[in-house]
Amino acid sequence: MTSAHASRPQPRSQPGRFLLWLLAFLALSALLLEGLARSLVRPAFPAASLGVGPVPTGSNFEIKWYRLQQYVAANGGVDVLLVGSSVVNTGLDPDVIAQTYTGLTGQKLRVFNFGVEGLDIVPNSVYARILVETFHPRLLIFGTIPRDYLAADNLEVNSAFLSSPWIEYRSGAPNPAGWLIEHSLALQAYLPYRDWMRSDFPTLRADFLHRILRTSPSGYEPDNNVATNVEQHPSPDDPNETAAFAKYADYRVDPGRLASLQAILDLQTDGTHVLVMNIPAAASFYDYMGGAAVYRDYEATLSARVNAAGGIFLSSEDAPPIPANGYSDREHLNYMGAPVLSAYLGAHLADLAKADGSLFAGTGQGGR
Amino acid sequence: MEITTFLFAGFVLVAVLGYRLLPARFKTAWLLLASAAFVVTWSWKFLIVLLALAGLNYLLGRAIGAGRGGSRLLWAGIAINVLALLIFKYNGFYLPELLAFLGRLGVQTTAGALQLLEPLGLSFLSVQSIAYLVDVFYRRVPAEKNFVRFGVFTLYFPKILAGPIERAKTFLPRLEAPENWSAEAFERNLSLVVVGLVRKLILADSLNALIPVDAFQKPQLYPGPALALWLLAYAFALYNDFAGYTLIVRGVSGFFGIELTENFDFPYFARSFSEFWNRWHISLSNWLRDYIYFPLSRSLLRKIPRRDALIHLVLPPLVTMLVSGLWHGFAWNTFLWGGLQGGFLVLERLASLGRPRRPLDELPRWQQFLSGLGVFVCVALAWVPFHTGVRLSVRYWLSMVGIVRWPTSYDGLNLLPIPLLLLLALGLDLFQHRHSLRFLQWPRWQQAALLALVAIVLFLLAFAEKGAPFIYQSF
Repeated sequence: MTSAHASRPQPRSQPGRFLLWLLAFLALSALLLEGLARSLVRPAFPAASLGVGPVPTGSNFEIKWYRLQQYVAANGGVDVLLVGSSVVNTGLDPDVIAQTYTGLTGQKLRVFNFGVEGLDIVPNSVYARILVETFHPRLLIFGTIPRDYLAADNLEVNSAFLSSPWIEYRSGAPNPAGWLIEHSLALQAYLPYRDWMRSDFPTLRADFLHRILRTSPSGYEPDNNVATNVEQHPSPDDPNETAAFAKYADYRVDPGRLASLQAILDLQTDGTHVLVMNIPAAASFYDYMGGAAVYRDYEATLSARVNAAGGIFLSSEDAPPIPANGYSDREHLNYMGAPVLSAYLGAHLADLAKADGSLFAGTGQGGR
Repeated sequence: MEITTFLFAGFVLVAVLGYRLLPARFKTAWLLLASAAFVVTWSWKFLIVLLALAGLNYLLGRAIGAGRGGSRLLWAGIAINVLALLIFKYNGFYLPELLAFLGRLGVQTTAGALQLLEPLGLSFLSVQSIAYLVDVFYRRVPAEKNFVRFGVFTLYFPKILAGPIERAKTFLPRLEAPENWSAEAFERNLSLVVVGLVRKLILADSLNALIPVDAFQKPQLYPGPALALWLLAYAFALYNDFAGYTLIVRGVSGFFGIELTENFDFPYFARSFSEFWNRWHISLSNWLRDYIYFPLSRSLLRKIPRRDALIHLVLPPLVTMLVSGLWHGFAWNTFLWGGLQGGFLVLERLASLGRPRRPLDELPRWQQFLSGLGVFVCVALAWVPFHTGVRLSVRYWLSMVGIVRWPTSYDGLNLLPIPLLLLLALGLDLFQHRHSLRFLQWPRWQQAALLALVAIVLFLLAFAEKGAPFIYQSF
């Protein structure tokens, strides 16, 4: 019996045992990596990532996302969220808005800038919903510009951003990758390095880290460039201006883009108000669109839509004049222009709060 | 359907299950059906062209096998396959001239109107078909009577994208008697697929992505050492891309019990140029040897019987490699690449003239190493025209040695990951060179740990920007 047993060949192949080992190693590795991420790695790293694309727009979004979490943790909530593209990112300083408001009302106001470079109204409307559902601000301020309503503008960036697994997951389209990113800090700690094999990755990473340092705790990223030509009228014959003239030729507000504006206005539920602010551009910018009259038509279209939806519209015409050195180009405010517009917005919010006592009632001390 | 996707994995699973469960008499038809379905996932038009070409070669083979038409029919068959390449694949070479000519005749048309589809794997299919017709003509193999079997020989989906280029003499018997299912065979085939995925997704895609997109287009913008490093990266990316593809399709084919030819044997460890060509894209090298080099040498010998005549040393290798260059692309840069490779072979033969021929393995180690290094440097330099145009190649070479310009603004930090990946690629080659698939003998837990590690790395890489399709898919 013993010899027969000894001479029986040992089955070499044991797929079941192999599979068990494999699953055990995978589970163990996942636990180990997650444990490391939660205890050691995460606190030591400057910023994690949600795998949102494309570069660098996605990383700008992620800086804001993690900053907002820190802001909420430090301040107990957020009352006013600013969303929009780069014109919001560099054009509105939440600290100036809050200081102006406090100075006029004596009330504290928690304001955060979630403007993201490269994201126009289409992705803005999607991530604004995520922000409102997650952070429940009293007021959502959407800063907008004529470029938001160009039908064929920014399509690739929008598509890359909206098809990111985490954005899809948080927008109500369940997917395994999005779920994993949402729940795994190990994955969030790895994702900033996911494109390590890009030929320009170290440069991009350095730029990203520098950008984190530039962004204030309330999400404002000042632009230090000063435009020298905002007072000059652009010429369609200038090769440097041809693209801009072509982009805004026969300007009209695209109905599809207006649907995204409506999606933002539809967020006025459960105590969140929406204010749409047309961010002022230099007067010479109107030339691209065919003159100030076209610009006024554009504003009138927006105003009608916002008012019809019960939102608040703030025209750029009411804004105080921005000094010529307050622009970094014809559309963007720089570090000298942003405080002017921010102070105006803070004062306007104070007026709104005085007119509607319930707007920010009970805010500033820990949220709703 | 790309072969590194989960979709392809699912497709293979269904195809293998069907193949293994069906009675023997339906197995070949099932493979043809699966292959046709695979081609259709790229384009149904491809299937029509490829089936038409397969049908023509089948009929020609039957006629040649029956002794009809003599060599004229063989030449007609060769011409049809070459013509198919010229019409469908190499039209970019003559289309602009054709358009200009038509314009001069007053016929106005656009490139789009004349642009034809470029069916999947056409160049692989053409050379395989030519070999089949020649072999039938010389009675090395009987003409295949069953079109379903011939169809699988032509369209078999694991090899249709980029080979290996199979011979009827070896492939058709394997089709008749596929290897039986066994756990050992399954493990081996799975290992081939996993190692192939590591080569493609971890090494080749990463190395490729580390090369700036304009490095081969505007080399003058970059410093010489960076260009040299990117050329190294390209050399290893190309090798791992194609070797990875071959391993994957050999593993996939193994699940059907049909073994495909090995295509690579650690080519960068070659110590001579002739050894390199015995190790790189072996199925094409063998084809070139059997259907270009040998016939040309024999024909020359008939005309000039003196074996030591210079022409015997120069012409066959040069012509063979020029044909290889043209097969890779009907363009001046691939012609130059072929010429360089031919030139290396000729120089090697001339250098050994009058010396006693010593086997490479008997050379001192240091001499083997230096020879190998020399071969690798020459092969790597020749990859430049393989990848970019002739003028740009010259500019690349000159920029690499700093003759054109030496910019100083480039951020050298970006180069850091390349040496790490090159070391990893070299390490994998060294391991496989010495141990082949020895990890199949490891204890189960070690195998599982290795596979878990590979799975985690592949999972993490899935979050990166999407990699390029297989390079040889475009040939």
